[in-house]
Amino acid sequence: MKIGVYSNVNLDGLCRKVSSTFEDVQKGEGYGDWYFSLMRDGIKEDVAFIILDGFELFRNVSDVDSEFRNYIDIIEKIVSENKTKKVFVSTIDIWEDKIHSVKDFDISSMEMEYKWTKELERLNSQNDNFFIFDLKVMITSVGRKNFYSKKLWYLGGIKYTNSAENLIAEEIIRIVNTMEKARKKCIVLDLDNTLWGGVMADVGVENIELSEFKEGARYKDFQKRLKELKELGVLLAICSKNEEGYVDEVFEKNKEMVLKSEDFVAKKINWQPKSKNISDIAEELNIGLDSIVFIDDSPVEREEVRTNLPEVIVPEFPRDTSQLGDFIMDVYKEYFYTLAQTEEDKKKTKMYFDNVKREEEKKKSASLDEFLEKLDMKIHLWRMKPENLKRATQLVQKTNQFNLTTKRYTEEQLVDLMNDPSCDIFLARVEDKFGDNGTVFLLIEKKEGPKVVIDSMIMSCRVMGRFIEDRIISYLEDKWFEDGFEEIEGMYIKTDRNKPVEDLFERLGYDVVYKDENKKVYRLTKERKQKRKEIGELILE
Amino acid sequence: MEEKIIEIAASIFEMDPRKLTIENSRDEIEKWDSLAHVMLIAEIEEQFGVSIPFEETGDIHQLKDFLRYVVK
Repeated sequence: MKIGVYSNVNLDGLCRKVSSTFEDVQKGEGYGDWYFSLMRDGIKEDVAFIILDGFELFRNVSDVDSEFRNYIDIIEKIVSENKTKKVFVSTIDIWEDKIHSVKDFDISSMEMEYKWTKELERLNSQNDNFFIFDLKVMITSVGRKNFYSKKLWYLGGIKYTNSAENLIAEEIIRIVNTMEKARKKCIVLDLDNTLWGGVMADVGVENIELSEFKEGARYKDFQKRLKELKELGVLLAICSKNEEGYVDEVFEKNKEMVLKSEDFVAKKINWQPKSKNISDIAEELNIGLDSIVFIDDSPVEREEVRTNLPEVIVPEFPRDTSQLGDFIMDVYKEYFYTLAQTEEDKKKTKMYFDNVKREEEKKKSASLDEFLEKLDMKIHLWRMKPENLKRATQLVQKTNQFNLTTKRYTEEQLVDLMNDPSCDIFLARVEDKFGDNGTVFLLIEKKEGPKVVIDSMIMSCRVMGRFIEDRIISYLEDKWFEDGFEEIEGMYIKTDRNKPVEDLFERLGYDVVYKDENKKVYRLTKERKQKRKEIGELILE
Repeated sequence: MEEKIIEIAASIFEMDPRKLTIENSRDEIEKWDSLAHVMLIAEIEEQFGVSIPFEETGDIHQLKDFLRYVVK
């Protein structure tokens, strides 16, 4: 991913710091005309960080208001002309050392900072590709004395201290990482001395440390942060050595509990080794062990999990529990940092519970077919529209198991494909009687002369095993043959995660035309097409 | 001390620390440009919790010149 850093002050040192993690870092030319190349050439990188120093923006400017308008117009233009690029613009801090009497109090700088932030917030709510880079909060949290360096300013026109540049660089790296890597999915939590203070079985349900103020607030605040993580789509689970009855009592009786029983997608309350419980949770949720973070105050339990499940992330628990808030914030930044929440994220926990109900129904059904019939599935299929971009990117970037070719297209590449007349991107959303599964399927077709190539076929693992792919592909095959294409080409490219779809095309009756260790190529002609399972109703939109 | 200075310099110059010695000077190291010089001063000040007076920053030519400020 290419990163651009633009600023009205010298951030060359910062660029060097970022480039030690990501090779492709470009810095904008000139300081006074930071926007010049952006206006002239547009953003050439995938993501642009515009970091602006508030004081320098308005240095020696006589008509501050019109200059302010001018800057905002420029930013708005850059954002709207580079829709496929992500643009981060900083909030500003206007700091000037000035001698004045106590009585003579000037609030114009604060007003300007506020106006600036307000405009950024407007752009933020109007543009999916725009984000606020909160420089002002960074400055406030470490203090101006630690953020600005007079010496470096006079020496080299560098405004910020070394440690301040490190902070900015860390945030940039974190943001870019979020765009490139999948975040973790689930936090598995211990109970006693983790979600509350004290051992519940000893002190009783009402006497655990958990309260709005004083000692118990350490844990209540921690629970509030966990609840916020849950709202971002992180699954929460419990793994505790305890008696199950006691735990139910806490949820029922203790009014201070921020987290409710239904906030947890799994509860393993027993005396088995925690590693065993965690692997069971991974299996039930159908997620990899490497997408689990385990939080426990006991070093013995942490060690047991680290030893037996090395893929699970086990952060050190703070010795000083007044630091629990900072601890969970670090966990968020490190493993769950989220740029923008999708609709799917908000419903994650509910969707999981719908799934539990489905599993129960499945157990009650005599056969898989009977169960699938009873699910009453509605599969909505449509050609991708611009408003689907965020979810489509998420599917392409983050789906590992049901992913035939694992081509990790970026958001920008998906836009190009969407606009390419020789390509089509299909998406599908699946509803059933237990709820909405959201947008779970994506297929990219490329037309190459007389044949259609299935470039990518991706499905979220939560709807695997329901023959949804059969229903969709069958419709598309008929359509392609009707449109006059002579053959359909499919492909499987092996990764260490996509074994579940290794033989998908074989099952769909395609002929293998090429095969080596890492790759299989398939073909289907009209004559060879077989009858498919038709489960659920296919609705074209 | 010397080792830490070399380590800091190596990370700023993006070099293998084993290829640097405390005797190395600005003329010998291509990566020791004016920006690297300022970064080096900033990093040394922070890591050692010292302050190098503005007037003297121009007199630093060799890595060992930093020893004056960090050895107290």
